[in-house]
Amino acid sequence: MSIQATNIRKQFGAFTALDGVNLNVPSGKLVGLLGPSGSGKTTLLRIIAGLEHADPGSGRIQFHGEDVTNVPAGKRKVGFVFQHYALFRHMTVMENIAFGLKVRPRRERPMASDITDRVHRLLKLVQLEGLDQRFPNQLSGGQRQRVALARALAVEPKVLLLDEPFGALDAKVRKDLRRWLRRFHEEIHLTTIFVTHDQEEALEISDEVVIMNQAKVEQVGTPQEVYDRPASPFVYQFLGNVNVLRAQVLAHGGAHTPRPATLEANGQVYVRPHDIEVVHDEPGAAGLPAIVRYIHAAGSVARLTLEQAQSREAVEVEISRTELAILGLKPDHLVRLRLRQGHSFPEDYTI
Amino acid sequence: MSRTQSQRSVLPGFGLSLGFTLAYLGLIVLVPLAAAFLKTAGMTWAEFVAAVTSDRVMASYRLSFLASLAAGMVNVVFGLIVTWVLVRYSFPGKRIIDALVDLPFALPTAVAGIALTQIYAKNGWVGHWLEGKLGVKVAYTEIGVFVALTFIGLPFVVRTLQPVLEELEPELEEAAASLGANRLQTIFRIILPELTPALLTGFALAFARALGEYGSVVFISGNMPMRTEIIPLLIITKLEQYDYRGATAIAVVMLMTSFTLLLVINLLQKWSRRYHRI
Repeated sequence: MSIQATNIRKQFGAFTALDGVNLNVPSGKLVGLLGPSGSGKTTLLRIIAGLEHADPGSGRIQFHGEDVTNVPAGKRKVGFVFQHYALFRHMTVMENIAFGLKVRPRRERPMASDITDRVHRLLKLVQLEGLDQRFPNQLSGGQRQRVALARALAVEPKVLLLDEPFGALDAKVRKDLRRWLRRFHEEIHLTTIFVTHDQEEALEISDEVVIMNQAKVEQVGTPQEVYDRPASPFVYQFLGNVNVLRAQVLAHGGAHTPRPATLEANGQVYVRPHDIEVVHDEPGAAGLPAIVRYIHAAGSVARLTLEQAQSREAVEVEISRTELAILGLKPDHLVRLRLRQGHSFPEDYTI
Repeated sequence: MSRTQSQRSVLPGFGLSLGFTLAYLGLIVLVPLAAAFLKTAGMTWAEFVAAVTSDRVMASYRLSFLASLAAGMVNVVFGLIVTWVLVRYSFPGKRIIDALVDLPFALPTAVAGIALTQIYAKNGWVGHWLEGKLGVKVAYTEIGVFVALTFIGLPFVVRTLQPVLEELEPELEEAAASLGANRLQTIFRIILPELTPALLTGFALAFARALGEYGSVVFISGNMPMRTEIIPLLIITKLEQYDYRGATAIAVVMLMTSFTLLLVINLLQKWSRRYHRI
């Protein structure tokens, strides 16, 4: 089921959480809602779920073309998973998952044996078989999150909404669980929106990423699109490390870029650390002169911190460790930097 | 919580603190209680039974325990509502209401007793209306005792419940709502079970306080033998007649009963928190 949010506004006192936001989620997609804290992403998710309401007079929420703006949360057929799980502590895993079915009016309620069957199927789906009689306090964080997911799925939602689903987990479990979520999505193809402030997470598992900043949507696109063609300096900076170089300096230094046309006279150029090539400073070599300051070679790539020879500004560069070995770089070496690709934005664009 | 010798804690001193706890409790609580038991030991069994089962004493046991139980239960219900309002809503004067809750703690009980009697007496503000319109007599009846006990017990429930309710995540209610539960289902299946341990503790405290209450009750009850005499009053009466053994005998029975009841409530409370074990 597709989700459409049109012109959603939400004000908390003097704070604007959402300023005329539009969102369109195609049916069956896994969409990551990405942004820094306070950007309004959780508020938008809660408004879609019906846990919060947009300001009167602002836009609508539609599920598959049907207006649900005034439908209460419990009737929207939405599965919502909270960051801190919100499991019912006094109920076993089994009772937690069955809750949504047991509170139905008698004539819509499945038979007790059907409920038990469905809970067991869900437990199998989230790989928690045999834990049905445990209490939430007896489970690990990752297990609790999966119980919360099973509980949300038990009511057969048309839409799954996850609010920072992995936010409270440690790094390793986070990684495992988000890959699991991706595989899981492949299996059930439920329209899913998840909120995260972790760009790596959003880029890794979403079909589409929605980047929000200061109550507005900055850009929507596939992970590759938003990473390769960021629509604004904010997106550029938010989606990974970036060097901001002055176009003027580049022109002087003769740094080679493939898209010189985009450079404004006084503008700035945004360059990813891995889009910079390092060459030895030989006579006649083109490129921005820089001095190697630090070399961090722990990890899959080598990270270099350099200082521009003229402006003394720092530049971060990532090269492969093989390349580092071939170049034989040491701190204080003078090198030249060449840009493989860079972006510039009009000057008056504030971040 | 059990701990073995081999475990090393960052805060050592288990032996010392346990020793202190036992010595302190012994000195402050157990020695005076033991004295009460010793005093009764001077009586023969027949004397003891006669002292604690006389009609007048039995009537006062009944009144004290029933009125305290009823007051505790009423306080659980209304304390829950008061706490809910104080925790969940903000409104002008909230701080003042919050402070008002503690008044029964601070007020000398005799003042409370006199004030309640004044209000509920035949010509009092509330009493004349209750008696005139509804024909309900409050002052100088069992109902009066119950009113006084309810008054002094309220803060125990509210103050026990308040921190627990403040900690209760609003997400639980939202989760229930998004799963399709209506408000009543959310209250009875989610919120109340989460609050039960705190409610039981609050009830136990209010009940125990009501059993021992003297000052506020003696004014409003009228102290009619067989009808509105509470146990503490009976004990004082015996003491005034220099019947020390009779007084302590009643006290011993009351102690044992209270202790048993509190123990049962504690076990219930532990059971209601069973999901906390890891």
